[in-house]
Amino acid sequence: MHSGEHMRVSSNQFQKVAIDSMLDQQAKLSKVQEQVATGKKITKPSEDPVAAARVVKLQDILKTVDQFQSNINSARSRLTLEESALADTVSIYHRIRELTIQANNASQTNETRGFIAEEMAQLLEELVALGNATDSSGEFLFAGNKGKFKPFAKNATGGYDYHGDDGRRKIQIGPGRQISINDSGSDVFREIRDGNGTFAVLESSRNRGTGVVDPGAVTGNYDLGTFAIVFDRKQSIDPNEPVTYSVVDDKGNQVIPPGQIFNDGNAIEFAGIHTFIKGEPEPGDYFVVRPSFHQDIFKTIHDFSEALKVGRGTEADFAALNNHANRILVSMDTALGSVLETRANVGARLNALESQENINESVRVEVRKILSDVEDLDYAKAVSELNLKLTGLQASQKAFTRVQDISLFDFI
Amino acid sequence: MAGDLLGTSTSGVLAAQRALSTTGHNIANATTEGFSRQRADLEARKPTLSGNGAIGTGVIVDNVSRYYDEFVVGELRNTTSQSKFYDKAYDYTTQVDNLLADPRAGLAPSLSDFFDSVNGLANDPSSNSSRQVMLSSARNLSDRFEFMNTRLDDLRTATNGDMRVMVGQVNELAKGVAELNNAIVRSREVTNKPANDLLDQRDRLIEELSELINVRTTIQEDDRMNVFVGNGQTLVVGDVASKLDVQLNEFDPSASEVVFVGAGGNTEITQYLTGGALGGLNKFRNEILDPTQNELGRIAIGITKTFNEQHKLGMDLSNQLGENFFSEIDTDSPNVLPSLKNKGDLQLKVEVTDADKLTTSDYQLNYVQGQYELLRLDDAKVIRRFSSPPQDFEEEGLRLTIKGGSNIQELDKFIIQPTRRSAELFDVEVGSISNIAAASPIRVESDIDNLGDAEIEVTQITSTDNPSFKTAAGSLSPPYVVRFVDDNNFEILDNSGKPVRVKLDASADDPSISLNEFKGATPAVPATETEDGRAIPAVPPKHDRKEKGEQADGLGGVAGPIPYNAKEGTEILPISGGIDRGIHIKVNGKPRAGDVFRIEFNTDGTSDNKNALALAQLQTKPTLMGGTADYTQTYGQLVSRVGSTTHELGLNRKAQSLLLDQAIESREAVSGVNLDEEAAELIRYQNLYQANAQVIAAAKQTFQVLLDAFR
Repeated sequence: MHSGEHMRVSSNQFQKVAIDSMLDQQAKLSKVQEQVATGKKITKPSEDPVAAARVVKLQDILKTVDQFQSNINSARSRLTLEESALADTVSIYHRIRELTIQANNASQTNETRGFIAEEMAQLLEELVALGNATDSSGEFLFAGNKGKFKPFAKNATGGYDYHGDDGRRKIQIGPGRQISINDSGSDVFREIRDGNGTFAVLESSRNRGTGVVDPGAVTGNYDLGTFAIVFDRKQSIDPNEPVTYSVVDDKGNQVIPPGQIFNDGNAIEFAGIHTFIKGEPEPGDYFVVRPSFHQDIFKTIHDFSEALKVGRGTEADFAALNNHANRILVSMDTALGSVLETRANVGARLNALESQENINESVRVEVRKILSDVEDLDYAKAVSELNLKLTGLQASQKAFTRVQDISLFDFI
Repeated sequence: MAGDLLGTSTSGVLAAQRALSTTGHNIANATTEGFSRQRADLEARKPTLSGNGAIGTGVIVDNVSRYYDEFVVGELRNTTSQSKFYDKAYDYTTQVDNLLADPRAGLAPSLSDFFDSVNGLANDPSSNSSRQVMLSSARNLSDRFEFMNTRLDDLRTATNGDMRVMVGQVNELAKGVAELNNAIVRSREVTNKPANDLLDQRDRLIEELSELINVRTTIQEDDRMNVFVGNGQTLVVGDVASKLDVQLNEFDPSASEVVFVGAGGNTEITQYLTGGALGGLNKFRNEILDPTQNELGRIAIGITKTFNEQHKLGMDLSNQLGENFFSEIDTDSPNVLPSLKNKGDLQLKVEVTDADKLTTSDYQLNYVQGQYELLRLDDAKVIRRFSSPPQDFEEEGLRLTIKGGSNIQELDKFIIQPTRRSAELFDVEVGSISNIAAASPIRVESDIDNLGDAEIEVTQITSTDNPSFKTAAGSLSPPYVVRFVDDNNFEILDNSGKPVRVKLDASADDPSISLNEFKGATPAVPATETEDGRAIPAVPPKHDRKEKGEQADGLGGVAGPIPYNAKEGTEILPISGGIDRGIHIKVNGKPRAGDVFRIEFNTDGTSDNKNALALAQLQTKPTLMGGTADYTQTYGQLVSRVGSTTHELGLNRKAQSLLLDQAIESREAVSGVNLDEEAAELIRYQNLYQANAQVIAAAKQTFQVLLDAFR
């Protein structure tokens, strides 16, 4: 029974308390031991449910960042391949441009033009091979989304059919950030405007004179109209009469009325464009001005190299060659401009990859740090805790043995 | 006088012996569980009345009584019951807690791995190895769901087994209490004194009973104890014990219920089990096991449904639309369990219609007083009442339909478990790597001869379940040609040049078709062959349509011209207010008259990854919980919820165990044996014995003196 304010303690209770205290110390020790062994503050979600849910999400973010980084690596290898194909394309274009200038030189003979044609055909093959380049897994770089299909194949007319599509593949490189890892062959090799990029001036294949037309320039508000510059004489049967010209549009309207006297090299201007014609066009000759179309650069080169093989004797033949060469030169300039632009774009994407890679890396570092704050153990603290708990347990054990030793029965 | 003295001192010796033997009994039972220390109550014997007054006649042991406090014992019983309740619930919950958060066994890592593989597919959509990786990580995910579900099922089986064992123990203990009641009454009849040790034993049995189940007790006049369980069922009355039993749930054969076996039949009492280990089991089952399994199922359904829906919007390696990637558990897995007691034959089917509206609750459909009521069991709330049968009826992301039978009877009941089995049934359906639909089914192209710089892009595919895709497999019906009739207006044709209906019901506001302004004279320039062999097209292009407001395809729709906004670009499919065929396409930039864009089936677009990208983005898209959480977050919340409950149970368990310690301490303070104390008692009663023996010796000597005087 109670004596004073002291509670009566039974022998069982006495023992129980001592044992409970030891068990308690042991449980705490085991907890710290587990923490030290795993290196984690939380070994079960119930110890810190909020942190546990955070850890799940943070680890998910880490894995996603890892995925982005590996996406960036694969995007980089694709874009680097494309970059190098584009660089090769640039040097081939330059060489073709040089050859065109050479071939257009009056000092060339049919034979030397034939050699130039050979080299050009060779370069064309190299160019087509670049268009059909593949990546390490055999996927065609320039086939758009039809990567299993060889994009460029020669057809019966000497042109090259495109078997790819316009598809662009985008890869996720960061949260909400995607980047294209390809440009379609159509973009790179086919969607190049001919002529000066706005309009093209073409001679009729039936021309008999020596008129060589300049590719021209836009001076005003050219609205993509199609026109013909048609040559005639005032009195068509008298060869001494001066050559005249007129300009008509595709609806039959006369833009420059007939009877305009033609002078070699004088400006011809209408509908916001400027050009001139050198040489001596014959009545009945005409030149067509039309908007620039996308050209198949392979066919453009092929056609020119074929044209170089044709033997030429008359002045009209040379005029046709000059006209053609002029067109090729401007075409090669637009093609070069276009491929350089694509290349710059690929370069920009490679840079974007790098900057995103840095962003991802700093996210990774940041998340790792948070994750570490949330779940990683402070070893110094844990080890001192471990020592403390060990001391506590030893003390409990000592107390237990000492207390159990004494009994009143020892004295009776 | 000497005779009196002898009698008095003999009574003292006897009393001391009795007290010594009681002390001995205490020492012997110092470690006996439930033993209450006893004491011999000494009392002065009735005095002899004489002329000198009342003369003492010695001492008598009136009674051997227990140090016992009914209140303290009641407290001990209650705290024991609560403590075991939390112990049990905590033990089971910890297992779920560990399962969910185990970095190797939890769902989160498999989920991440799976989406990594989908990203891998997006990187390299035509590669067999990335497809293989995706298929096998999908199978791993399915294995993980199955593994976790199996572990939960194992726990369910374990709770059922535990329940059966414990109910057996309850029955044994009840029998023991009844037998002790009997013995206590007989002992009392013989001795007319309380049967201390038997009472202790009975208390001990009741304490053990409390460890299992919450009980209420009453004591009768004759010391018999009655024991009540559930909501008043009499487990023990006098020397008669009733029985509990375990039987299968009325709806769900996977759940066991505790019933009271009464004369009038079995009464289910599981819901009244609020204490003891059985109560803890019940708590675990209702508050952890069921919701956890339901939540896993919800995630499984969410993944299945959203992934399948996106997968069907894609195109596989053989130019076919994607099929289900995962098995259709959204329609197959919801459980409908009619009560065994149903008298009608109505059969229900439940499907999931919206994963984001799903809860983790189970539901009950009752037919009461000619009305159906749908009860959400989580909060026991009636969420819908209706009087006619639920023909195709939707609620909380579910659709209920009648599958068979026509007859419903008063009080027929059904339990609906929308997601309980979903994790178990989660499976990969796609059979071959070539059936993974990584590509978009649509390809768009600008014509090579376009003069403008406008670009066309597919912004989204929202449905492939429409005639555009379903008329002929592997093709678009019809393929579209978008042609700009001038710089600011376009029309939509099919690939044979016929206008396509893109809008219903031409009204006055509809952009009308005006044709003749483009019907210019034939170009004066002959369709000439130039050096580059190209024919010169007529500009702007001619149109061959007849008159204003023409009916495009005989169905009253219009095809165009439709105004185009060059500044912001224009969604050309569907056009504003037009028919949505699931294909969303936009043109941006400045087109020129005559420019043509083609929209066709993405045949052989095997390097296209648009659908794979869309699939990969599901990882972080909030598709669950009313559009507030993605899969991982939903799982994270489950982990956190189970963690919190475990934490809370842990705290309660600790608190209860402290209370239990206090109750034990109180009981020990009253009834426990202290050996030092008993040693002191021993000395005290030894002294008493010796002193009385001395008195006997004194009496003997006194008598001897008297005898010697007469010799």
